[in-house]
Order: sequence, then C-alpha cells, then structure tokens
Amino acid sequence: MVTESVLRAEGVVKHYGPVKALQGVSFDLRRGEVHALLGHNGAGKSTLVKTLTGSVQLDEGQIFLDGQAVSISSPSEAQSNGIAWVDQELTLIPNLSIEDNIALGGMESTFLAQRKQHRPRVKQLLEQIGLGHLSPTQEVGTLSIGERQLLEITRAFGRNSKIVILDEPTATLSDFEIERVFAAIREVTAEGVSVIYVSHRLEEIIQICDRATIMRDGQVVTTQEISGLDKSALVNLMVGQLPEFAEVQSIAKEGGNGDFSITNLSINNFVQDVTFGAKGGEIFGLAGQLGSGASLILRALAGLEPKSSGRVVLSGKQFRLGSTLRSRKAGVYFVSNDRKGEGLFLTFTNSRNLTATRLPILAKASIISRSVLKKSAETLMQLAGVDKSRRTMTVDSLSGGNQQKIFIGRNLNHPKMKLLLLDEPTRGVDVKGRAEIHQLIREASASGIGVIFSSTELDEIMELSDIIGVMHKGKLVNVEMRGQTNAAKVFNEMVRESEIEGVKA
Amino acid sequence: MTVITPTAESSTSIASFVRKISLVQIAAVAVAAVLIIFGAITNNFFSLSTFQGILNTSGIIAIVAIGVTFMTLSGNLFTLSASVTVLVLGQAFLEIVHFGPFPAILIILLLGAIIFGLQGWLVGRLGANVIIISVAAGFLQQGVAEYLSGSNPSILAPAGVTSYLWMRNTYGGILFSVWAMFGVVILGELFLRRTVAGRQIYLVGENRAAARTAGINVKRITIIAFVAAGICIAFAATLEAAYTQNAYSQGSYTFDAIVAILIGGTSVLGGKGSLIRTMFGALVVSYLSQMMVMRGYNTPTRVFVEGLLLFGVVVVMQLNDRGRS
Ligand SMILES: Nc1ncnc2c1ncn2[C@@H]1O[C@H](COP(=O)(O)OP(=O)(O)OP(=O)(O)O)[C@@H](O)[C@H]1O
Ligand SMILES: [Mg+2]
Repeated sequence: MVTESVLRAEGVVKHYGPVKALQGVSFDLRRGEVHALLGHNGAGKSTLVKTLTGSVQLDEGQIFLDGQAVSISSPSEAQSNGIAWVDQELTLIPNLSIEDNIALGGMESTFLAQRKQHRPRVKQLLEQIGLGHLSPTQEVGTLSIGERQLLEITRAFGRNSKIVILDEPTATLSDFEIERVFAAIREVTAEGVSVIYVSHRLEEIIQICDRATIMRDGQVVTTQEISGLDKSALVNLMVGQLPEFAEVQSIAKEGGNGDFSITNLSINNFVQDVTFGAKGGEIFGLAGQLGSGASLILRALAGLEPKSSGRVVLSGKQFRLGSTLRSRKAGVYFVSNDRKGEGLFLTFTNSRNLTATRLPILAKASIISRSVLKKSAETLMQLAGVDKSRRTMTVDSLSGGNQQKIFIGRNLNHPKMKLLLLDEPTRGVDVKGRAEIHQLIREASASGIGVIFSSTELDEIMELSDIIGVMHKGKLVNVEMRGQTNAAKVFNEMVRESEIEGVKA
Repeated sequence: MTVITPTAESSTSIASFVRKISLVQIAAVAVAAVLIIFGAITNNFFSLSTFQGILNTSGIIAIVAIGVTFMTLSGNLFTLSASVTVLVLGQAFLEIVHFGPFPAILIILLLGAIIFGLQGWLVGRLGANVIIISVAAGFLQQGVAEYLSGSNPSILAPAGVTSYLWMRNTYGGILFSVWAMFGVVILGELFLRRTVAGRQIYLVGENRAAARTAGINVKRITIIAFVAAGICIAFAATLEAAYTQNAYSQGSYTFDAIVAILIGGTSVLGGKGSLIRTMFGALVVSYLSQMMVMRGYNTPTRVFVEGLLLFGVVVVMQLNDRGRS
C-alpha cells in the first residue's frame, strides 16, 4: 500500500502576469509519506502549495485526489477534502484567543456555548506541541513568533486531515521545538496521513522526509528517495554550486565605532542581569531555544521593550532603552523576526521598502528627488541579491525568501549605523541566499560596526558567530569564542538534560 | 469541490478575464454609468455652465476633503468636526479681516494648525481614539466660539471692508476657491511625494509597527498629518467666509469630505490613496448635487443619495478587501 498515491498534480501551470511561477509541474504524494518540496527562493514551492489548497487557481493542469480528477477552487474546499496546511506567512489573528484561532476556519463552530466543550481538546493540542504552558483563552497577539508558528502547526494537525502541508514550518523554531514537530509528524504519518514539507533546512529534510521533489524556476528537476542523498547532493540539485567567497578582511580599528557593552540587562522580569559585550568587527551570536530570551534582548536593544533596564554603552556613549527613536539615534538598526508585522510594508513596492529607513539620508533639505530614490533602491537590490527588474513590483509579490533579502537590504549600508541587530537573519532563505546574506553580514561587520544576531538554527550560530552567547530561560548561561566551543556543547547549554528526556518520551 | 471529468476544459479565456476584473472596477463603471445617464436625462445638464457650476461648488469641499485625506493616509481615519472648524475659523476670519486679508489668513491658518496639531498630539502621543478626540474637539470649538460671540451666533462680514473680496471673485469663469483647490492639490502632492515627512506619512499609514521598528518617529508624523489637515481646513474656512460673507451655519463638510475620500478610493486603513483621488471624489460629490439640484430635489434628498452612494462604496471596498486577503 505504500506506493498508493493520495494526491497527484499533473502539468500545473501558473503565471502571475509576466512571472511564470509554475511551468508544467507534476508531483505525486503517497499515503503515509513525508514528501519534501525543495528549491531556491522563488522556485515555485509556495505557489504549488497554494494551487493544491485552492488559495490560487491554476491556469492549466489537473489535480487528482485518490485518483479522481478534481478542481479545488477555495481553501474551504481543500479543507473539506482533507487537506490542511500551514502557510509560509503566519495567518493567525492576533486579537483573537488561542482557542478561537484554532476553531477558526475549522469545521467546528465557534459559538460561545461550544467553546467550553472544545477547551480540553485545545489543551491537548497545545500540550502535544509543547505549548502546554499557554492558556486557551490567551490572546494570540501576546505570543512570540515561534509560539505562533507552533500553534499554526498544531492547528493543522488537529484538523484530522488526510494530507497536511507545511510551508516552512520551522523557520523560527529551534532544534528543540523542531523535535516536537517531528514527533507530531511521525505520529500522524503512522496513521496514514501524508505530509508535504517545504523547508530550506536540509538537515531536517534528511531527518524526517521519505522522498523529495526538487524544483527550479517553476519546474520539477527530479523526485528522489531521500535515503540515497546527503546534504551536498541536495544543495547540488537545488542550486548547483554554492558561491565561494573570499575571506572578509576586517578593517575594524581598536576602539572602533561598534564597540558595545551591555550590563545588567533585565527585561519584563524575565531576562535577568544579562551582561556581555564585543568589539566592533566581531559578530556576536545569541543561541537559545524558543522563549529563551535571545529575541527579547535584541528587541530591548532596539527600544521595543518598554519594561527593560540596564546599562548599554555603544561606541563610548550610553543610551537609555525603551524608545525606538533613542536606539536609532544611538545608531542601532534592527531586523525583526516578524517580517510581516514589524518589517515590510507589504503592499508597497520593493523600492519604497528599501528606502523606507533612509529617507532622511537621501534627502537634501528634506526634499527627495525621484532619481536619487531610484538609484539607491537599485544599488540595494543588487546588494540584497534580488533581481533589479522587480524594483517597482510590490514586495508581497516576491517569494518569502526574497522578501527577507529585501528586509535585510533595507538595513545595510547606513552611514550612521553602529550596531546591527538581526533576529533570524536568514528566515526562509535558500542555501545560496543564506550564504550571500552571511557574506553581507560579515562585510557589514568588517566595516567596524557591532553585530548581534539571534538564530534558532544551531548551524547558523556556529557558521556566522565570532562569539557565541547561550541563553536559557532568561539567563545568559555561557559566552565563548567560537573556536572554543562546538555545536553539541552549545546545544546542551541551550537545552537542559531533563528537557531533552521530555521530548524523546 | 466539484469532481469534473478529465475532458472538461475548466478555464476558458473569458472566464479568466472575468476573474481578473475586480469588484471595484465593476462598481466604478456602474456608478459612472448611472451618473452619466442621469446627467443625460436631465435638461441642459451637459452644458458649459453646468460644468462651471460643478467646479465652482467643489472647490471648498475639495480643500476640506484634501485636508482630511492627510489624516486618512497616515492611518487616522477621519475627523468628525471639520464642519465646526470651518464655521468657527470662518467667524474668526470675518472678525479679523479688517487687519488685511493676508495677515488674517495667516492667523487663521496658524489657528487651524494649532487646533488640529493638538488633536494630533493627543492621538499620536497618548494613543487616544481619533473619532472621540475629534468629536470632543468639535464641542470645545463650538463652546469657545459661542462664548466669544455672545448671544449672536451669526457673524456677518464687516461693513466697508473690501480688501479681501478678491477671494470670492471668479477668474475665467472659475471661482477663486477652485483655483485655490488646484494650488492645494499641487502643493500637497509635492509635500507627500517629495519630502521626508510626506513619504513617512504613507509608511506610518501602511504599517505602523513596521514604521516604528524602522526608526520613524510615528508620533511626530501623526502630528504633522493632523497639522496639514488643520491648515487645509482653515484655508477652506477663510474661502467659505469670504464667499458667503457670513458664518452662521455649519455646512455638511464633515460628511462631504468623508464621501469624497471614499469615492476617490483612498484606503480607510491608511497608506494608500492620494490627494488627487480625493479631488476627483469631491468633483463626483459636486456633480451629484448639481444634478439633483437641477432635477429639483431638495437638500435632504441630496444627502440621502450621497449616503446611499457612500454606503455602496463602503460595501464594495469591504468586499474587495476581503477578496484580497
Ligand atoms: N502574488 C504574486 N504576484 C506576482 N508574482 C508572484 C506572486 N506570488 C508569487 N509570485 C512569484 O512567483 C514565483 C514563485 O514564488 P513562490 O512563492 O512560489 O516561491 P517559493 O519557492 O515558495 O520561494 P521561497 O523559498 O522564497 O518561499 C516568484 O518569482 C514570485 O515572485
Ligand atoms: Mg515560499
């Protein structure tokens, strides 16, 4: 029964105006398998997912469910046919409670009287995915990005579907939470549910998936069993050769621009007495599982956490926390992990997004010329590695990974920048783009500014940091030079032994 | 889900064409058609003098609406006291116009900037609700005006002062207020497109949290948007007072401005739209009222039809927004 196909797409074509997102894609999903969908940013993965879930209509081609030709014209039709999915962008409604969000769009009614009946089930779903500490009545707006992502995942699994599609479900989760997601996947696939899994984190793919379909420029390159493949083989199939970069020469001077020291930083009664610092030209990586406080530290430094205290000195000058304007004046620039909520102006063009933070710099006596804007946007697009022809398109017409590149690009090359903060800098970016973004961050750092980044991906911490700080439950438990530590050690500090047991059980 | 046989062709080119036309486009064409048809069956409607009339009645409404548009673009909906401000500042203008028109205009513009700047400060700084603040500000202004003018609610133009009467003349058959409207649109659009603050108004309106994170001073931008609104509304007040030569009744500016903005297609949520759109919206409002006047309808009917139109616009926009998300 293993080879029985539950879902088949044949010759799917989808164009967005001049953009050929899918050009004749064929794909099949077997019962009980985890099928990876891989490909560079803009390859068409999300578009394929959207045609399968009725979110966009295909121009040509045919979809078969259990061998029956079907046309799926809306998400609710997809759902009533047993397809559940998690979108690449978060879709929860912030000012509704957790339980209402779970009920939302589901088959169950949301009437007040029925909430209580559903509550045990909601609790169980939260428990399963490791969100047991949350209350079903809590507003979603109070959750961190990672928690929201877990909530979306558990909501999808809670739908009792035949097919679950996860479009980059783990982009803001650490290895610790990912284990929980994997446990959930294994549980449902054992019952015959099929899973489509889109991700750029190749280790995950190798760990959890049975087969992989690799896409390039809207076409399928190949579909293969995972067992015969390793990471470099996958990279090769996806993007060919990875770019080679010359070692970045640091031009930072002693006592340079970006030296910073943070003393006794406390945030929201959660992060306590965190003290660290680094010199300009060094990249400081903050590791930690979801809710460890690593993200909070970056947010506090950006001035986004009103209840924060501590002494922060940047380039010899102290500044007070709690105001984005003060932080910006001190030279702090922040790339949030909430690209959609706190980052991009989604329906504005790429050009407007890229120049949004640098209008005062580009203006002469407060007046801005159009040609200056255009030139600046073009330079930044090139820097960020997004095709220049996309300059006047809206940013939400880009694939998720390319949106991230625009977001990063916006925060590069600022003459007044002294400290660059990046929360999850390569969220949703493909292996090649990831290497490019890392290079951009290294170059920015080499100019002498300070860089602090946080990542839930251990590999990224190990690759990019000069200094690694590990957060655990609001405390900075260790700081070491990269040369003096290794991935296993950092992981152990991130996740205490007892908790690891919890996951494996 | 519909199970279809493999032979059935699902998407013909006509179907995909129809799918591409948005509800807004259909609605716009429908409204235009209705307006033109009614115009056509109204005697003498399509004549030069009618169009002069439409233009001439639109100038002041448009300037008020353009002012309110700054607020809308910045993500702060509308003011509900535009009419009151026009009345109160109009009274003030007639009281001080004997100092000479230019000093008087300047003082009124300054007052408008202050009245709205304060409201902007309350909204931007303290996070107050713009609707509530604007209603409260309306009552306050009315109270102050009544206190100052004593028992005499209507203020007439000062006898013998003629130095400002050029403000109510026509030039080339077109009222000064219409030329002023074009001037305000041009200056306003330049401000929005070519200055840092102007562009930041759009960013704040589109995504306030992102603007804040990007280091934009959201409070300052909110105040600037309100001040721009106040200046436009104050300017409209001087034009209105100069034209009517008295200031004793509130026009329907508050409502007209909202209708003009919505018909123009500026997003209620902020971030999208323009002053030019609002100007065209105001012209549609004028067209409508001119037509109704010529067909012999009274003011209540006119307001009723405007209300219907507004209702339609809101419903269509709502449906369209839902379709997009
Ligand atoms: N609404 C849209 N309008 C125009 N172009 C679009 C739209 N949505 C997607 N595209 C384009 O379609 C192509 C495929 O995008 P898609 O989102 O499927 O890529 P992806 O493989 O999911 O990439 P990523 O890994 O970055 O998420 C891209 O070139 C993208 O810019
Ligand atoms: Mg995608």
